[in-house]
Amino acid sequence: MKKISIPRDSLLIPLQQCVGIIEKRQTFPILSNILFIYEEGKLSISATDLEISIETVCFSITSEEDCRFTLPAKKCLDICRSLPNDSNIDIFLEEHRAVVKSNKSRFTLATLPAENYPHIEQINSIHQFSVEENKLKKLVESVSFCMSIQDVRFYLNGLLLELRNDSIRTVATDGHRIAVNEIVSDEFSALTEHYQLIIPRKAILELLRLLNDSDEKINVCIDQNHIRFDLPSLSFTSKLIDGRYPNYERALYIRGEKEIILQKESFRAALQRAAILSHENHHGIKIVLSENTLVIISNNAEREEAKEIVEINYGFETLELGFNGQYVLEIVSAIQTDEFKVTISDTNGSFLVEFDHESYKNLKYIIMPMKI
Amino acid sequence: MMNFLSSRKIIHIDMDAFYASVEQRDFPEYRGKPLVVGGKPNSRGVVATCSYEARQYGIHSAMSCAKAHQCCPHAIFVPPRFTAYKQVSQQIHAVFRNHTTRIEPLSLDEAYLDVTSIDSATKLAKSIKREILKQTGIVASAGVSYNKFLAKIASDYRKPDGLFVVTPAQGTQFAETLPVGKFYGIGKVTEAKMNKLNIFTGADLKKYSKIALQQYFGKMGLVYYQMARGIDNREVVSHRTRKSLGSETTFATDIGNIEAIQKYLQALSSEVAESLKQKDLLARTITIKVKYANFEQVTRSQTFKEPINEQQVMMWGARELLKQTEVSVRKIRLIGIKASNLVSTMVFNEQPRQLSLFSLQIPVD
Repeated sequence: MKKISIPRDSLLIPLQQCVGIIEKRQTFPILSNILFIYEEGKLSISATDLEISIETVCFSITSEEDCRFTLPAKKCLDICRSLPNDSNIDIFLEEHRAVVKSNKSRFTLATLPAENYPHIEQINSIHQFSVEENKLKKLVESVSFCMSIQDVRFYLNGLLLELRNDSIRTVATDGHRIAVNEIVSDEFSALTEHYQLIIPRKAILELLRLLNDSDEKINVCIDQNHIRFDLPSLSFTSKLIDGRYPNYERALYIRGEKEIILQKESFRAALQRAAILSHENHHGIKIVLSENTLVIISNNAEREEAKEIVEINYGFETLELGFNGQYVLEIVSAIQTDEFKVTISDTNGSFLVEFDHESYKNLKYIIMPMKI
Repeated sequence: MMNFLSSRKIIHIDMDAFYASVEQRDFPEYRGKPLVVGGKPNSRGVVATCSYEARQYGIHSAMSCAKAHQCCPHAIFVPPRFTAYKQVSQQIHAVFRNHTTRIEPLSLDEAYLDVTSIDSATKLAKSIKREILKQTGIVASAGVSYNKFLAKIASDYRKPDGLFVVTPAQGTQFAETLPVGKFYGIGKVTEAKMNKLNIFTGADLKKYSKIALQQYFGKMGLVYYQMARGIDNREVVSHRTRKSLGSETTFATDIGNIEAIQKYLQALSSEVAESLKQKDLLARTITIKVKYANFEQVTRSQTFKEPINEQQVMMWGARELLKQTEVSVRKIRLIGIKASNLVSTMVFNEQPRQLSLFSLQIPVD
């Protein structure tokens, strides 16, 4: 009988990282399990949902021989989590089951053969770059909430990563609003001339869960169908969406001389209050700009009304604009600076958000108007 | 308890053996013979309607065709002709409209009429029956009472060609004599549960307190309590807004091939999309229903940001939902798709219109 001993505290984090990608509803039972491989004195713990896979490494293991096994992910995590800190876990492998022992606790879990676990694909990288973990996190996080959800235009249900001559860019849109961010650095100059790839929504949300604020360099490898992020303690691979992202650059070009500076917190609070009485189906709000005031007006189906006045610096003619209040609120809530600049397009009344702050100068949001 | 509701006059009209009667009208060779409208004999289809001659052999609607064939091997089996039935249905509705605007259709051949404003509901029921026969050549039964529950039971009471009246004075006593299986909302399961509690008739039901019935039967307990006393406050609703629109198929043999299932879904989604368009409706939610070979049933649904009536979008959603079922590893006997959370195209177009950043094509495969 094979036995492997693992300190509870070094098992917990890898398990938490893996469980996130496992779907609750499983067609194939083995996809509810986590794969453990102990080889050459090192334990790797990995999980996949066939689209995304995570491989983590766990240290301070003692085992007399190499072994491979799978355990039910959720139960394994729940057991590990509820055991006391600093405890030690012994796993005894039998046929079709594993006995997990720790101090006076004992659990018998059903196992499935490790050789049936889906193979995690390796990448023959065609592009490769590295970037600080905190910068990558910001780059993704600042735009990710604009991705589509369950859209028939499936290529929008993900985030566009664009390798440019001397920058990497992230773009997300649902067709009504768009977010773009970019890191410019000489380090990328050797990269490539314009290469686009679309990372699925679920992978982006999982990646954000895994990324920390460290300034350690993360290596990113890309091939035709995959992207891999080598984080400090784990490697994260996702399939790519096979589709063409819309030509978004034209949408970024906005001309307008009507600019206003808004304070993030007061504007967000006003929007949130106005949203209480906005229409529950389309969330429409009106924004009226007149001399030195911005008024937010919302009406719901019961003809109730909310009105919020925000003081601004504005000296142009009166302008009445309509927007989906939810879109504006989501963008303003994501803003990390105290103030931001809004430009109203002269042609169609769309709403461009930009920042003067050094760390956000490449971040842009555009919201298309709503005809109210 | 006399209130304004017990002074209503309600007629329930129900055509006798509707589909079978239309067939016998149009095909003289079927007359006087046991006739089954529905699936093929020995198939897994069910009896939709059967003629009175067939009923003598123990055949009834919803029975499997194979069983019906066993009951009466010489019965004639014909597939339904919905266009013909719809035409008759329109004719009988025209008759109703001559007398009242308060019409609540229940199906093609069944409707409640609220005729409170008319002197004699009984006389009117008689003349409606006569007009229907004259216009369509098909016999209807009518029930007249002061609420929907009793009117419906009354129309069934003297079938075929029946006319039965339950007056407010008779209502309570009439309800007491009824077997509980006849009550609105009591199906086989509830009936069996009631029988276990020694409830067989309205009178037995009346012995139970309101609280006891609510404990046993939940929300419906109160409804049963009232019906046992001849009370039913439901109104005749003439313009019921449609809540959902759907279509489903039961396969001749169980299917385990995902491409074949998708083909069926393709056809069903076209049908649903087409009828949404015809009715000028858009749907925010689509739901697929899968019944596995062992009759276990699951539904999966998706709500769109913007309401839809395009077949491609519906099919895309359906295909994504299919992935959340076990069709790739289990055989299924039924697949269905339903559009719900409906909004009329007109209402939607009047809503504020969100402009787009770029025009995007719906991908086709």
